[in-house]
Amino acid sequence: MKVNLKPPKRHAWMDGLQQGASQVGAVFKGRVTELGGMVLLAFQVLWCSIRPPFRLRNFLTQCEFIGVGSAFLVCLTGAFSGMVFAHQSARAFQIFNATSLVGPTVALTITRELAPVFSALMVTMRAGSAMCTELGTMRVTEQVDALETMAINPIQYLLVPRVLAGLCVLPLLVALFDFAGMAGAYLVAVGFQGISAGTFWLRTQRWLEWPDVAEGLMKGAVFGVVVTMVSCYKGFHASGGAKGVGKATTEAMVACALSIFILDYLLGVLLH
Amino acid sequence: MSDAEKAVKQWMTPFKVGLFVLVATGVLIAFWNFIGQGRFGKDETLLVHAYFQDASGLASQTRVQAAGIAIGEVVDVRLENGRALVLLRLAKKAQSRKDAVLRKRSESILGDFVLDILPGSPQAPLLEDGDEILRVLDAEGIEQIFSSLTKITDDISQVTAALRESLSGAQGTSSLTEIVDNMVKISRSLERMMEDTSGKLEHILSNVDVVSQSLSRIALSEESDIKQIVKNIEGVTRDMRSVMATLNALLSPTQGQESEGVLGVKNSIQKLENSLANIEELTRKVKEGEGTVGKLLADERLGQRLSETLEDIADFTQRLTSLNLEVDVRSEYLFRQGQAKNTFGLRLIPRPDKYYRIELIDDPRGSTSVSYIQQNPPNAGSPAVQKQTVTTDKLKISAEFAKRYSLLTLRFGIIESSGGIGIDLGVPIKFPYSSKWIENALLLRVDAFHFSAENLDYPRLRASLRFSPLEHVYLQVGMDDILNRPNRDLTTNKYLGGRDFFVGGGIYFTDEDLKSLFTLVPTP
Repeated sequence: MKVNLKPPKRHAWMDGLQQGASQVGAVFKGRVTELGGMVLLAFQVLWCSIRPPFRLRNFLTQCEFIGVGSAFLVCLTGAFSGMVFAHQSARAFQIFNATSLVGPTVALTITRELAPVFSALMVTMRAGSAMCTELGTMRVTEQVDALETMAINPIQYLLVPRVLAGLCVLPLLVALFDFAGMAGAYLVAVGFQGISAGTFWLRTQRWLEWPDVAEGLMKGAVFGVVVTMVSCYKGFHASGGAKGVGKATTEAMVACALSIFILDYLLGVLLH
Repeated sequence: MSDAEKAVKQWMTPFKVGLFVLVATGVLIAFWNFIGQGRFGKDETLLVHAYFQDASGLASQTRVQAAGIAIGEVVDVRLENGRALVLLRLAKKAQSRKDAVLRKRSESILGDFVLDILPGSPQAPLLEDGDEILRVLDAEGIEQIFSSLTKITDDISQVTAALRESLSGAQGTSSLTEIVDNMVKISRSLERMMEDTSGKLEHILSNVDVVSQSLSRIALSEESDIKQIVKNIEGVTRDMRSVMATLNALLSPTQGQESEGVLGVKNSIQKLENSLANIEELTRKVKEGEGTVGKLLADERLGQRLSETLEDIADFTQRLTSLNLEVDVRSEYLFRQGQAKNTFGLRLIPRPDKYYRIELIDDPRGSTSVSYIQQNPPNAGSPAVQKQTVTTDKLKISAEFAKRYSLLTLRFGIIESSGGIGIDLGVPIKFPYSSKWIENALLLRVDAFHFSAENLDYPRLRASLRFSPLEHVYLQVGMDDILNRPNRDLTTNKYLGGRDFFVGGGIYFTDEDLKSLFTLVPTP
């Protein structure tokens, strides 16, 4: 009996499909692995943060870098955000002759959403990128290995101060954003749009509640941890020289921005 | 790096961070104060409530204001018994009273509402925590106002359109001219009429004046005549008096000369007086308790007995009317016995939940009694004590008391001349061919009796299933003496005891005539 031992004929589309599936699988595997690695790193950071030695100076340095360094940028962003939002909402409310609602509208939007999201984005751009680059450079130049050689836990020495600083500083930046945003909105609404100052503040007082402000601060704290953790993780695991550091920084920025927006939605749903 | 630079660098970082923290914390505190100013704290406010028919537009934090100044806010709005319960927090310093009036008012066309409160009269007590504001005015919503305005505008449009149609064009102009002309004519006619009738009116008024003057003159000039009329009236009354005196004289005796009519009247009066005296005597005796009627009315014991007797009679009649009597006649054929068992029963039903059953039973098994005969001195070859079982054919009696619990009936008493208990489970059925439910159409009946019968190993247990396809008629099947083995006398072949199947039937009916005989049976 004659047996046909020739392999079956392969088509080009089959190879393409296989390659596509492999790529999707690799991306999925990579993302899941990253998520898992990040969670494990977070646990390590948490564990190291409650164990001595407590490096207060490192912590303060990071607070200065993240908080003090970003304060002006955040205030500026907040002021202009408040101004543009007041301007647009005043134009919209003029249609209904309800410009008295400009104050509460801007206040609620800023305190609940704009302040935490924009502050986190500013910190991501300014401090997160710097953190990722710094740690990535340390990694590719084997400075991290040198720390380990000197029996210094690199997670405790490098990551814990950054993450704790992000956790503590971001809510304060959010508060500054709130203040600057309301000041900008007041300037535009009262100064340019001619809305009565008494009406602006009275209506804002009536509608704005402490839970609205607290919601923004809470979101800020979460974003602070996420931004610093993602940036540190990407930098800490960078490889491939200067190019690899640049790639890690880019990935960190994208991941931080996406995380901020996704978490903003989820927290908004959870808190209400 | 010099030492001074090192020292500056050492404190610069903490200083910057501290300054940053201070500023941000200050901002937060400022926010806290700013928000807190618009709130009404619990210490300086009181919580009251009001019910609204329509709370649309009201929500938590809706402002409550007096004289345009915010003095409180709505805390909560919820539905309660079909009305909206609105919880309010009012500032104590506003000093709102219990007769305060709460009014819902539309604040803007966006549907914002505000509650206006009129604090109330100074005489009324102050509102306290938990009080209700009773005077509530549900304002019309902005939608209703717009709806009303739209209707009014439509009406005005229709009127103006009709006017425009009727007045437009040459015809309209001529109509308008005609209307004006007519109005001019009417006013002229009125003017003329006033001119013509003014003289007549003056004449009428002068006539009235003359009449009144004449009346006055008559009253003055004819004074003597009026006095005469008064005198005449006096004379008439005097005459009336004399007539009455004459009548009196006629009715009273004067020197034995009395007319026949007067005598008749007198006799009648005398008889009437006698009758009245008799009645008086009678009432006196009754009052003093003399005689039968007097004793009846005056003796309290007798009265009480009479009252009790009447109550007994009422109770008796009530029992008589409520008691139901059911006559039951049935016959069952016992297969092993080969004979029929007949029963005549009466069921006295004073209340639906209980009854008494009395039965006379002709049981072919008979009534068995055991006696022991002791021979003294004993005969040789025979036992000293001999057992003698005597079975007699006589009627047995059942007398049971039954209590009913829904479908279940428990019975106890005498069953077939011995103590026993029974349980019935009756199911009412409404057959397609019948218009009403038949009570106990399917009846499972279990009796246990003869607990200490010497000729039986176990008590006599009987179970039967009764089926009533029609009212007053039933069929029955069952087993008697379930627990004991069949026992037949070998010499006479008479069936003495033991389980036996039976089948039979019967009729039952209520008898109104018989039941009066049983009304005196006491009911517990």
